[in-house]
Amino acid sequence: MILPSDLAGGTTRTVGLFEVDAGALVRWVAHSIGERQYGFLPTATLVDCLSEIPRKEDARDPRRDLVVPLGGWCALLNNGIRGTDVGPLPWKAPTKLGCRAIRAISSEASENPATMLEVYDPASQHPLFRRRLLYAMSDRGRWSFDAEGEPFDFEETENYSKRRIRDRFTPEMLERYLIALGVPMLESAEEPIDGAILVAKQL
Amino acid sequence: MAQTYSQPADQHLYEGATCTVSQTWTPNQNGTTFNRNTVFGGCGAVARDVLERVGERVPGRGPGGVFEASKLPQDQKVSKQYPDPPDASLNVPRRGQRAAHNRQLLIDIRNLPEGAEDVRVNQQQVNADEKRVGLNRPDLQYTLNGRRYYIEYEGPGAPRGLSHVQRILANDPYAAVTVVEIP
Repeated sequence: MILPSDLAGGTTRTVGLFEVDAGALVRWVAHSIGERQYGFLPTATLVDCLSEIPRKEDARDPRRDLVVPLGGWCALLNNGIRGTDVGPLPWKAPTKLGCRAIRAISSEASENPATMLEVYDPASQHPLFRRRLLYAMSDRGRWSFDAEGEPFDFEETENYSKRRIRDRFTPEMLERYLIALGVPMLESAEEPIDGAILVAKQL
Repeated sequence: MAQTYSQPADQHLYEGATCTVSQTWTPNQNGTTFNRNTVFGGCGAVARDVLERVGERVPGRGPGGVFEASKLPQDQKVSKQYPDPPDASLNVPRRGQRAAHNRQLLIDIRNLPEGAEDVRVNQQQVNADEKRVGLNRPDLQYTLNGRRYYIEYEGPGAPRGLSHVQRILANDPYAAVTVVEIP
């Protein structure tokens, strides 16, 4: 799995996924966060595209977002202090764009490894439109696991009671879950990406 | 669907255009009145004013007008030893919390601006530079335009509100802290 993964550190360990066309997502993100511009990037690999959103050093640096089209979905990455930070966008997307949205995290190499899945759906009755939350994550070496919402049919719920907490929800499970949710996967980091869009104050 | 409410146009959630104390506003739909007290770090006079109003001993005013209170030893220790926080997660509704608190928390999360970052619920305190600065767990915390905001939901009289504000500002002197009193 490329998105999310430790491929480019914090930038790719978290990803926002939106079941909407790239144009709608880009217009929303550009206009609702700081009146920014957007423009297509030339066809390039994911790593080359990521060079457009270098990590910022402090909270006051300008935010830059990268939207990568994935079939009927889009991936959103940006240059938060610790890497991609999609903030409230996934739980606002059901009302603003009328689409499903996902926040997914997969990191095995960082100081605090984590696997997390949050699914937001316009059909959900949850006040934040959250359909499902699952995570296994470490903090200072202590692992915790939690699950909220009704399990999807495809979930491997038998794993949730495993003795080792980190085994209850793994990156491999996350990949299978994303595929089951209909999210197209990038096959390789070397795969050329057509139609990636950069959102920034200055392109 | 969560209820919605109106706020003054110049505010996002509980932020005032200026440092404000004890303003009261009323949600549109259920008519309930909430009291809110916002203390802005980096604005020592207001912090002092809030503390004086509630009869608390006022800590010294630090260099540049920054609110100054002593950081607890356990908060000093964790911020030095483990500055990298875990990923943000939204554990809402929080188990074991008053339903009214959870309801307001959800409303506030829904109303966060799109540009909010590092949104955390009931996780250890993290500042705008995304460094862990304390073991305490603010009810809601997020960053907007480079400033860290913390919100604490309290019962009538906000009996623990002041101690929450003191600890949060001791850990993050430039933050804005809001105590929301929920009947």
